[in-house]
Amino acid sequence: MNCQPWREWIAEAALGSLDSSCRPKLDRHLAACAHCRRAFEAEQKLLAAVDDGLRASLTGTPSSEFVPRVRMRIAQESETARAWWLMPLGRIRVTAAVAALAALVLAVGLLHRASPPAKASASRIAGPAVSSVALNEVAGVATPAGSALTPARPADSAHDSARRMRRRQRAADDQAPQCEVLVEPGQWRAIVAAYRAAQSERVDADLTPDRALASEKPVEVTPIEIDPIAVAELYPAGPPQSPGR
Amino acid sequence: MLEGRVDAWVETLPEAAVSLSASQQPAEQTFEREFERQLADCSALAYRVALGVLHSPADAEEVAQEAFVRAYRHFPRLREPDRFRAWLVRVTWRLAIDRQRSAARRDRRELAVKANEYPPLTVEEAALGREFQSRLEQALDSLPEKLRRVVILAAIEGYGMSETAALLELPQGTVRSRLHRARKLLAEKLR
Repeated sequence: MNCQPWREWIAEAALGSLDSSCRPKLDRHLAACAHCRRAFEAEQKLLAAVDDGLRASLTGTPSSEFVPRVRMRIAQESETARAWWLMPLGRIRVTAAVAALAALVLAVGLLHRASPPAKASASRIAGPAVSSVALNEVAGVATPAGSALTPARPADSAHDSARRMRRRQRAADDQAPQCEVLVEPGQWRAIVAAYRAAQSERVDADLTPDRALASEKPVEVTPIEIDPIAVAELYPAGPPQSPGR
Repeated sequence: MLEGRVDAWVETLPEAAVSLSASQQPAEQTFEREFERQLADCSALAYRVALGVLHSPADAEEVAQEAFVRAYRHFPRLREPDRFRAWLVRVTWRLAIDRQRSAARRDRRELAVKANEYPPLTVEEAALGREFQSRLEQALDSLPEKLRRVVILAAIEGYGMSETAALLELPQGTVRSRLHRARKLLAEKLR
């Protein structure tokens, strides 16, 4: 007997989804065909084993540590959420901010370089014993006195005045010869005074470096008189004779 | 007269402060209490869903933990129990599937090394149906995802057709037909 056409019905019947109109015909065939009856029983057993196997694999419960662990992880996450900069997104934000700041500093530096020649600035170049003073800086200090010759209009704000002053200072820097001198600590005030005097073509005795230095306390040297030592006092019995003689 | 009124007002200040914190405190306590209840009620469900995908109790527990941590984040809008349960099943499923896929990738990489390291089944294990269970798990893993989800949920104790439909937010007829197709495919693979 060719039972192949019944296979589909047997599978559907085992699954419980065979149409009710077909079931009587299948039952009649199963009663007559031992081979199909065995196939039907095997199919039912297989499906029961599937259902039992699925149920058996899904009956477990989590361990007793499950709930405490969830609570701990929630607490940890709350702590981490407070330190937002430690989160991946937070780190990205901080990195982006630092990169933006670095780019800004670089851009400002480049713009500064592109502007007229930079003036020399005072800086320490030779260790603690010697200071470097740029005399253009000194001239800059003296400039406000010059600006007093052309007083700002009353309507001008302090900001405009300061801007004009800076512009004038830059122009003066461009024209002034660049020079740098090394001075001993404590003498730079005298050098500055002398330079200012030279700039203003007003040299008098009071502003010479010698005069300025005169205010510093000189080192006092007291002569000591040493009497010659009388040999006779050291060697009352006479001077010792050398062994070679 | 005025001084007396000011004093009376000042006296009320600490009480007002206490009453404000007392009104906030129950809200937080209620939130925590509701979450604790859901954690107790649904931990087995999340664990079993993960177990159905991963077949490993340790992995299933980790995935279920992660699902609950995520649930805590979204809990303010998941307070309805049905909604919470459906959301939890969905998230647990997704986490378990992701873990399974990454484990499968890792296994493929290590297959050449570890092919001979798996211990063979003992006679007792075979007798206990370990082999059949292993084949069943393989067959389950090979099912399309939407069929697998239905068959796993329907196999969890206490979740019939209607509960599965509610959890998956699907019509019951859809769940029934998917379950039928899933069981048929499983039987074909195991035959």
